[in-house]
Amino acid sequence: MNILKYAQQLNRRQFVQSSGIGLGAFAVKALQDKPKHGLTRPAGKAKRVIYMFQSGAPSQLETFDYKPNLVDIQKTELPDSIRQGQRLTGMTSGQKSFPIAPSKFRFNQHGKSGAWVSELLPYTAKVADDLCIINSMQTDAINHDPAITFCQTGFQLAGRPSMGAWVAYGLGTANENLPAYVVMVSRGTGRAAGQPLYDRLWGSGFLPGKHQGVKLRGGQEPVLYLDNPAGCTTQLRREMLDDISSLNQIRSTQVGDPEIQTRISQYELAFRMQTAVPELTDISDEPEHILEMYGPDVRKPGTYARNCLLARKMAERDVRFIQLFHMGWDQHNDLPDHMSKQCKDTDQASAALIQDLKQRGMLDDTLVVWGGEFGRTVYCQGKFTDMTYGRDHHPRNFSIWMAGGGIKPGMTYGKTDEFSYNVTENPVEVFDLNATILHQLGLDHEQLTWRFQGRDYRLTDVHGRVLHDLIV
Amino acid sequence: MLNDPTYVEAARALASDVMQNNSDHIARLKSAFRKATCRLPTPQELQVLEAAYQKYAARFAAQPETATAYIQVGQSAPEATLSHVELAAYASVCSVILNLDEVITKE
Repeated sequence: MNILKYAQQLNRRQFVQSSGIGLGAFAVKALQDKPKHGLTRPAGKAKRVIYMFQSGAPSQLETFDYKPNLVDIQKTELPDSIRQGQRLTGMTSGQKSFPIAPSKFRFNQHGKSGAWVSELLPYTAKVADDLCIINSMQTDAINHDPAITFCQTGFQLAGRPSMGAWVAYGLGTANENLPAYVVMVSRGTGRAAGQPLYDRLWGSGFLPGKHQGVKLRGGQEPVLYLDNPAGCTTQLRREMLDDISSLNQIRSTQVGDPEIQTRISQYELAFRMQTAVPELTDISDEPEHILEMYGPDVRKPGTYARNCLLARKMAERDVRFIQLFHMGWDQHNDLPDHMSKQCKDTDQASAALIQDLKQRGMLDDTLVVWGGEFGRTVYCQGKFTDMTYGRDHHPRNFSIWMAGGGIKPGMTYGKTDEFSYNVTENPVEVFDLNATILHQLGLDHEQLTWRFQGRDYRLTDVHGRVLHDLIV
Repeated sequence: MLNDPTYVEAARALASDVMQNNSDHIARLKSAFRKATCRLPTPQELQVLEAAYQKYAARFAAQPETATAYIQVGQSAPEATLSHVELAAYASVCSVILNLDEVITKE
């Protein structure tokens, strides 16, 4: 036996990786071997996650963090005692004045829980009793890309595995015909030239490549070239794949590159997706009342509403980590107009997804997360009139919500000061949110590790605590 | 890349090239492999390629209309002097070669 082959066979990680079922199945063995690198598996309340990422950072002041007092002090300066010398972005640090801008939109209490929700989110308001709203989220990053990268990977610099990849690694796939981690992107109508999203945001970093997110395209063809070319029968395609696999296996023993195994498994997955994807993305069987629930946009491929419906279909097919990105939440100027449009894009379908999962009995084991990468400033950026204002990036507090998957429903958690500028009660860091998401899936964020460059890495690095206050 | 018309067409062009420049069957397989990987196939690899060719040729011979359809994928016209079944079978082998990990990714 050659040395390379021998070394590979001794390498437990590579064995796990090439076995195609993820580390989860080896949890007990792994715990016996090496407690630090295994996984504790109290059965997770959630079997899957749908994370609806609102990219660009929605304003907490116009959605969930109600500050009625701001009207009385509008256009006065943000007090230094509140700002506390906190850094601002280059977009407003040069402003001579930081006038308080109250929300133009009304808030009401909704449901038995009496959650405060703005009038921009009438459909979300109707499902308030299913939501756990967190008003005390905090992040370290103040600009979009580092902040989204931080939410996704637990680190502001690119290169670490995304949460979906960690989950795919930890739990493996539950449907071998679809990827364990699927991403769908939609563009908002609120801000045309929104921030770009890079494919690395759903990358696998140093985890094996097969755990990376697979992005479905927004148009008529979610995956290009699914059909065999003319003249290529299914039997011929199968034979060609077997021959590619044989040759790749030979090469794998020659050079020992573990990513060749990823290539082999991805080609097999692609073959199975040839039938699974058209079936998944075909919505012609959906009854009219379901389509109406998600709103008119659902009939247009590539919209947020369509993606929400597809997310439900993926959840039914046990895709582990389903992530939607909706762009355009970056209201530096013309906030009232842009924010209205963004909310209209997303409100009805987000709420419909909750109701749809609930009526199918799937909300109990599906964790739904809605949120962006940071919040917006209470002071106005740029032009401030009775009609319009803008808000800059604000990392010190923002609002998100979770629903289902063993999270307490009908709850609002965390408080901010009267300016929505600092957290005053129950701060929640991104690490805490990520640790909690993993926990609900039955994964211990401190034990889900991968050794790279001489040390064990985690999604939560050396941080994160599970938010037991929010768990049923 | 097995289905993208551009790659299917490229595989067929590679097949035409090795068929026209080599009269020997094994030399054609070796040449196609070498053009894509910059090395000759090992005996074991060559065995896989040769067996693959025989399988594909038998399939196309049984349904010649599939061979004609397969070699017409893409914008360029197939080389008129070549047998459709043979060209389709070599094109399929070339498609396999162009889809190898070693060819797609340089590490």
